[in-house]
Amino acid sequence: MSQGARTQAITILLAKLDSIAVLSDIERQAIQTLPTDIRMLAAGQDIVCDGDTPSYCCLIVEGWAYRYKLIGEGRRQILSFHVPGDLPDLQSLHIRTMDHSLAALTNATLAFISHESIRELTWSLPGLAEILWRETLVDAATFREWIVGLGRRSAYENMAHLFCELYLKLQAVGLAGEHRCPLPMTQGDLSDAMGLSNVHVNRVLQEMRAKGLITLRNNTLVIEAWDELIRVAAFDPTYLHLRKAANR
Amino acid sequence: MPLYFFDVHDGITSLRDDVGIECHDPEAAASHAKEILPAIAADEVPRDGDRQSYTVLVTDEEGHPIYSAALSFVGTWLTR
Repeated sequence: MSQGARTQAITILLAKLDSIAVLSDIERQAIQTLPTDIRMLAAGQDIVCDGDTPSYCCLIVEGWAYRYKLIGEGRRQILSFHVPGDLPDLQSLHIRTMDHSLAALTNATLAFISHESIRELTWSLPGLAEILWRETLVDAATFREWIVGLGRRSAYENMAHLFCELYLKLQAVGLAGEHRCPLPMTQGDLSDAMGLSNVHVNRVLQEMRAKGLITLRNNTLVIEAWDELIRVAAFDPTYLHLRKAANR
Repeated sequence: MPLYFFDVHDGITSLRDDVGIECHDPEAAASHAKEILPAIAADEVPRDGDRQSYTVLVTDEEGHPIYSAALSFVGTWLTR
């Protein structure tokens, strides 16, 4: 695979880790020598499935991914959306059997990193082990926010919350700015993430548009009223534990 | 599986479903209507007044209506 994709993988991984922690020069160099296996996946393709016992983790280099559970009769709950820089199955390093699935949401470029390489890295540099631990803790914090949203927020508030979260996550790795970011999921994906029907999601999006909060065009989200969106969602970015405070 | 469309009207605005959902048969489409209408009402009724109604019109791929349903909320103050 091209050297370009590998360089891109290392760059986005460093951007991600920089967004949540301070890396030493030695840690940075170690990341740069991490062996990666670059692969392209088509939208909808599974990366790793419920019940699998993978021997590698993946880094999203380009495109989006999502984690999900299937619960029979075609019902699907999306557990999280993942953007470049994320390591959405890092847990498989320590928990052998996958308890959910991970799939590409869009066409995606992934860098697979063997558990062996990550173990070597974290054994030789415990500081990096801590940073990766931190990354999984932030992941867990995000799940907690989603539980609050699914259990207690209205659909309108929860959608606003999701948009705030995705914008800040993308901004942290340099993929969003000026209140504009890619939003490649379908209405169906949003419904499965928020536990709503398609029609309900459509209503919520229409209402957000009508109130001048957002516009959605060609898979791009434009947040027209950031302060108001934050107010509606009662959004507190603390749980993302980003080093740089949310940039307005 | 055939596509069915669910247009929801809330007494003020009508929102046309241009995406649709695949359902096994008309019965499954009706049962989807039964799920979505109360869910929408549960989410939206608390934010509005004491008289609200929600209706859904289910159409098939040819645009033929196959099912409709309505839910209404009527709140009455007893202390005013």
